[in-house]
Amino acid sequence: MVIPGGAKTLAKRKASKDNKVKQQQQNAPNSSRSAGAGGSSSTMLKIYTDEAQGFKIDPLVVLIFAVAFIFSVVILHVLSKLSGKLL
Amino acid sequence: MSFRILELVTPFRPFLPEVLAPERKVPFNQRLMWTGVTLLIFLVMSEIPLYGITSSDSSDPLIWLRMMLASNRGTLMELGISPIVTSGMVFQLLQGTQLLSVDMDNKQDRELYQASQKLLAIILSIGQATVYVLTGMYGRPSDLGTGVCLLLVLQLVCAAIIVILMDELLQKGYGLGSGISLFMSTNICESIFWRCFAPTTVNRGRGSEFEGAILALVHLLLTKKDKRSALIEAFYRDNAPNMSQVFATAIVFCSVIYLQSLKIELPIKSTRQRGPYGLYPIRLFYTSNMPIMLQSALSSNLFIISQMLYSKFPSYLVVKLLGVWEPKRGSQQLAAVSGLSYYMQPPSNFTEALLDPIRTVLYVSFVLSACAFFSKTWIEVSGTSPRDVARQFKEQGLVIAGHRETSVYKELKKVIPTAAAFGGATIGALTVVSDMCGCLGSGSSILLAVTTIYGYHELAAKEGGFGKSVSSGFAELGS
Repeated sequence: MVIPGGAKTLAKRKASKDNKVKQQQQNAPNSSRSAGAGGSSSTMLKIYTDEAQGFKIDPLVVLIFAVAFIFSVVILHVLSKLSGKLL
Repeated sequence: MSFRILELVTPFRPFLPEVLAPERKVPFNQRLMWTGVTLLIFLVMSEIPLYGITSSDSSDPLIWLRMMLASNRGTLMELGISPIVTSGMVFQLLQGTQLLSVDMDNKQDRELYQASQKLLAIILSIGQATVYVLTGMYGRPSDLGTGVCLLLVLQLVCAAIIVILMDELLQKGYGLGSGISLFMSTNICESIFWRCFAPTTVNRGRGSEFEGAILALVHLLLTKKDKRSALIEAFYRDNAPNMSQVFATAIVFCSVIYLQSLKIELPIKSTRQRGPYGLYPIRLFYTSNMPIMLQSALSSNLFIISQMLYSKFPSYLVVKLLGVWEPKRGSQQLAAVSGLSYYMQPPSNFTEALLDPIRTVLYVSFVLSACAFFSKTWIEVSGTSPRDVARQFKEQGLVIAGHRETSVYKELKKVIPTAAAFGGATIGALTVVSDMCGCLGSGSSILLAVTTIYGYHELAAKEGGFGKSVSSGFAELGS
């Protein structure tokens, strides 16, 4: 089969197709939930998952924050036990 | 460009914390590790008591919601996941009813949507914490003093923010899936495990025995001379968890797993490229654990309202019709003894079900119909109705093999609503059965835990985990 326009058209077609795919990828939700297919059970709630422009936190920092919080509460308990009364 | 409600969150966005998304796909073992560590933190937080509380031995007004919200009384996890779930529900409802126009294909919109969800969750947690402290759940505010009140609110809000962040961490691809359902089912599993192996002792006049069912069995078998009566006692004691309940739980567990695997597979093929047939599975539990969640949320809310009204105005006829509450034998906890709430409350064991057959019939029919109804409604709300699925098929260029392109909708309409309604009713029936057999923990909580864990297992299998043995996986982690 002869393609009208020859190889140039083919190249153009491919480029536009690539562009389209790229566009789709950029717009595509980057997690199952935002795509509408909730996490573990497909019918659970849909809750934020994408990138947003808040201030970014490394996941390790979240864990450290959590552990620090737990320790501070424990220390409060210990201090109040030691001093024998609440603050 | 027109002004929209969603734009209101824009000024707050720089202040909302946000977990960094992973640069590339996190390997399965690492995701398992993240999930484990997060869970551990969650569990530790749900065991540490709040600093500054003086009393927490009154009747718990929220006992019906504890299971759903993964919360623990008097601990850092007092709020549990309620802020996230509430804000998620609100936004999904707003979006479902088209009050909030969000274009989910637009990245900008999605970002705004989730930022506002998070903002609402944080605001809700502050509000809830304040209400909890000021209504005197931990002792009268005047006794506590301003400093301790503030400290209590601060602790609760901090814990809530940590949970929000951990859920986000798990969802962004570090973990295996949704944090909310994970926390919920962990809490449930924990309580079931505790009832099996609790080392605490109860005394009912014949020496102390262990509260945990399995521990008690071993203890009674070892210490009693008459082995037969020891066995009977371990199986049928009524003041603490017993072995027959353990077996009932195991049976319910297995039957749920079996029922999970029932599905209809529609053969589908692509119209765009030639190739082999694929299968589109429609499970019996099409809406998974959603109907049971909605049903228990509905009845718990009704119980709470009725209890509150009864404690304030016990003499009104309407209030009495809604529910009359009296403390259960041997505990502070209230239970309904007549009125609408009584008929919506599960019978606590088989004898109770037999003693009041009218109540049993009403309760069973209520649960079955409510679950079927919620299931059918949920497919419309969540965008999994036959019409939506047919549209997805069309977008992806899929047709049901052996049918015309136009008849996809008709075929799906034959299967999906039936599956949803029947699946909802089945899940309701399972709840009723497990409540009447007196399983450890309520029927709905067991169902929730099993369906969530099964979902996780499926996900893990799809991700290619479990291919290698777990031990070799851990070896890799170490290296």
